[in-house]
Amino acid sequence: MANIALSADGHGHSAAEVAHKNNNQKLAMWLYLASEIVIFSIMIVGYAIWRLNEPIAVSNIHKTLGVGLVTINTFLLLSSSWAMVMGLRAIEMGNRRQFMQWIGATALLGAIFVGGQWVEYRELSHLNLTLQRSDLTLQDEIFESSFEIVPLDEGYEVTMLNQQIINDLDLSYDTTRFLETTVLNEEEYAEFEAAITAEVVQATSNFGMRFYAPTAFHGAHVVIGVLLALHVLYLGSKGFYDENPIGVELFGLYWHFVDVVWILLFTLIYLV
Amino acid sequence: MTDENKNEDNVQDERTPNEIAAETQGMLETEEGREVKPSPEYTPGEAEEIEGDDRAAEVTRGILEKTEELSESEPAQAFDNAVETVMETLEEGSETRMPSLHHHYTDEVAIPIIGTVTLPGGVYTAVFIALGVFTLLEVLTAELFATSGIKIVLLMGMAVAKAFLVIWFYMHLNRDARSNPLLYVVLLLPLTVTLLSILYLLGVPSFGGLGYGAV
Repeated sequence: MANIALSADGHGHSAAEVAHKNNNQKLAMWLYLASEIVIFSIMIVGYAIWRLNEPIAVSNIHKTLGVGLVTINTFLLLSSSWAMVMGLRAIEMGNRRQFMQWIGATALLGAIFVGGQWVEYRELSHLNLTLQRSDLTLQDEIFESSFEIVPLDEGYEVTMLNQQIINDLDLSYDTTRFLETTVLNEEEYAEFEAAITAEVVQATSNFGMRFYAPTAFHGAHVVIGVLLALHVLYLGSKGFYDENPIGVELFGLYWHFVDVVWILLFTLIYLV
Repeated sequence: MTDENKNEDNVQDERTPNEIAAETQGMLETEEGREVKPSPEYTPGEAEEIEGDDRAAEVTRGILEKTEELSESEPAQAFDNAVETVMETLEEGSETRMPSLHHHYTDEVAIPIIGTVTLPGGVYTAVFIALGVFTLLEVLTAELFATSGIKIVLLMGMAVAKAFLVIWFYMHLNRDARSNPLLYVVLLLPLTVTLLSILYLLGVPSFGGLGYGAV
């Protein structure tokens, strides 16, 4: 005879109840991401407005920086997003081993991205593009890649390592002398130092904050994302997501959002 | 009046069994609030379990034996089949109404223009490839052409297309927003406010003055 099953499942929670709860959690995650949209929008718009006003400065920075490293980094983050979604697919298909592999790849790619960003920031600092510093002297570390300065009894011996930095300087004496190692007296050196530091302070104050704010803020999100991925990996290994993989999907929402932000930052800051 | 009381009352009832069944065996309510017809269960071999030689036991045995015999008959079998079919249909219906926790995945992807392609990872891999191609196109465009308004529009267009692909397919807006359209508001409201704010900001005159066009 026909059997009537009155209960939806044996666990006490009906599938409809769990699905309803999942939907609420997803909505909560989206609301959190909406607050992130506001924060990132402010920084992106701040950069975009400055970019409109400073086309020549930006073009110079692009030429010096190149797009090689940042393109590799972009591919890393895109791949990590793909790994993330493949991990979700694996756990939803009930394959925990594959899920662990994909989420592990997500964490690894995210970590390499952060490493790439660290390398890039170091390069930028060698190009004297840092956050604003008001008390610069030519003996500072950030000029190491640009000049070699040896104090003499009277004046300084200056050797240019990066010719480009003095191209636009407005000095009372002939700057072509810098093509070779030059000895400057105290007065000339003071003028030279003031001009260089003013230039650098100007460049960093304009570019630094607008560049570092969105990229560093994004980098911090990636770091947190990598930690979350490791947490998801740990819970996953305990079988936490076997019945209901909503936790993986929520982390995925966060990770993909970070990816979307990078897609926009990459184009706006490095390419446009 | 509960069903139990009804059954007790039936002891003194003078109605025929069919009449009682018609009245008491109305629709039963399941836990999900649906109503189903009760199915009268009959366990074969019940007649043998009746003990005793008195008349009452003999009559009961007789009834049970007759019932067992009848349950094998063609009309009873037909009724069984009918009930089973109804129950199966109800279960199928409840499965489609019940939101599933797991999603159905396939390796086949219907790509516009190209057609249906089979890829390991399905639509997720197809989107990943599209993201890679767009990124290469972006870098090439940025490197090969001099800065111009068209180039900026082209680059930003490709970036927005990439962002859309991720949001639509990877963040599952394509299926989640269908069940919860509030997600569109959550996503578009901050973006709209930002866009309007940019337009407002761009309206600020560059050289001071009293308002728009006061340059």
